[in-house]
Amino acid sequence: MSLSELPIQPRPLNDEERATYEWQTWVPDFGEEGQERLKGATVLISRVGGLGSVVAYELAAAGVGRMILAHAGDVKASDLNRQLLMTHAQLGKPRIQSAERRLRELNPRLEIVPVAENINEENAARWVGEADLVIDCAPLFEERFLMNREAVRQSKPMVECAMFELQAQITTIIPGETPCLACLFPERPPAWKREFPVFGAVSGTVGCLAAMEAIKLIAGVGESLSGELLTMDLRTMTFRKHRVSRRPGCAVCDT
Amino acid sequence: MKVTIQCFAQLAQAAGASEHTRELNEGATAQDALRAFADSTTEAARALLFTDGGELQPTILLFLDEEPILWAEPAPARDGSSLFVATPIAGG
Ligand SMILES: [Zn+2]
Repeated sequence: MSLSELPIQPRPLNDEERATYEWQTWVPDFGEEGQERLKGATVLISRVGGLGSVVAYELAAAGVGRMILAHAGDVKASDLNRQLLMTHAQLGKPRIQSAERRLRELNPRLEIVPVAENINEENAARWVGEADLVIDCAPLFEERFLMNREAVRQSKPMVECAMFELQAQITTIIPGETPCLACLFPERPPAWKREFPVFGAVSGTVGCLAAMEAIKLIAGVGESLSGELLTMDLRTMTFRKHRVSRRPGCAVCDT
Repeated sequence: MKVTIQCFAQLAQAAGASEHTRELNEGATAQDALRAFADSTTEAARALLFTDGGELQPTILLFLDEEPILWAEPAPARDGSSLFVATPIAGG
């Protein structure tokens, strides 16, 4: 499915930015215009764990202008196999602080809105409302359903990505056009647990794909995964794209 | 005829492998293939697929030869068909 343009106000580049992003502005259909759109964009990333860390790092490298990052809690040893914005030196300190510090090292021009809590009933409307695009990287279906409801209500596109063990999946939700998360999963799956088997290379793989989806949606290049679910099994390196449909009577997007 | 059931994520883990082939009668549907698989897999995998009342869990996504199908609408399979069964995941 081709992309419908997001209402983003492009921001002109300065010389430092022109030099930093030179090689990616050589990409056909992207150019300096695409870069100006990235600079003008605000992206909300719900949790910067295994998946969201890599999404945020790639988008910071690519020159997205503003990021709202939501993640509660302090850095634990068991975060460090995959949450690449968390460092050993930051053990016991707030995750959001570690994430912010690491992103600034890479891109000091990046405007970061650090939110030291996860997306919840109280804050979802505000942060989704401030973003042009949301990327759902939360480890719990409750948070994912909340983001989905809010993104649909405010007509914000959402890149929906998730992993388990050596498998991962990703799709792009365009409210009103594609199935929403509740079309795919109309109720909370009974068997999902908060802790799950994970290699950083798996969450990182789908994190890079989500960052690429975001860049394409913002810049208006290529074809997105809207209306398609890409599943991957890294145990066998099998990638499959499945067409997905809206669910008539969906409690979130068909009311 | 043979139909391959391809399990994703938690279902693959519960069933012990991602690919399972079942021999079915001519004219069998994707639904028959999934029932046959459920009847001969682990208890944990069966519980991920079906409720105690024998209904398909509403969060399962089914794709027969890459096309999405609905549980309520019998989808004819053919020899060599593959049924991809996705259990929901949320790892972040
Ligand atoms: Zn929906």
